[in-house]
Amino acid sequence: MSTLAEIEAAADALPPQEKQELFLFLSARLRAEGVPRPEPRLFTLEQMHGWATDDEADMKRFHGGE
Amino acid sequence: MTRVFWPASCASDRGASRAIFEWAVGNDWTRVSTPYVLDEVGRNLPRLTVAATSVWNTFQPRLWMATDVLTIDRRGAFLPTKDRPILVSALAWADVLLTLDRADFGNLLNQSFYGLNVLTPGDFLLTERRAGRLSTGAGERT
Repeated sequence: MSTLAEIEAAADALPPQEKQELFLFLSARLRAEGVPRPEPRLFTLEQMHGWATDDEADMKRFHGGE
Repeated sequence: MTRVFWPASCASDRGASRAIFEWAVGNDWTRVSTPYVLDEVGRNLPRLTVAATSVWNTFQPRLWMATDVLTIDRRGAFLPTKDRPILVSALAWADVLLTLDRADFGNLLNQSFYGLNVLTPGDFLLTERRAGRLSTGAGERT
């Protein structure tokens, strides 16, 4: 088993618990290879106010029965 | 049980994200987040309003903290850079990624990303109601 397609097929055959372990294994390997956790994104105040406005408008839409 | 990934963008006091938070228990929704999200919240929300921070402080203790899933940041990687930490962690741990961040996730909204549904909180509520699964009665109150 050497190609990505073969490995994906083998991974797909694993039970859910082992799929999760594989996922964590790969994540740990990436970390070990020097992949840093990226800097958190910096949002603008305009973006954040926009999210709150959209969220509240969505709730009104929900209560409006759409 | 539906695992709902909670990003920094969903911290409104009166919006759909608040309703999801309050109705989570009654609907068997598990609210999932990661340390990366907490970093984003810590970096951004204090600049907004005291109320926004207060809302998040009520949310945070009831979030199930999953591990960040890191991905390689390299030219040719198949995922967009900015939203990658959120997207991949949500893909690992959740069924639904909530977001109000149309700048970084707009191209994924209302779509399935490798089986992960990406929705605004409002659309998530509408989807649940249309499917006849939504209970707005029981649940936590803050």
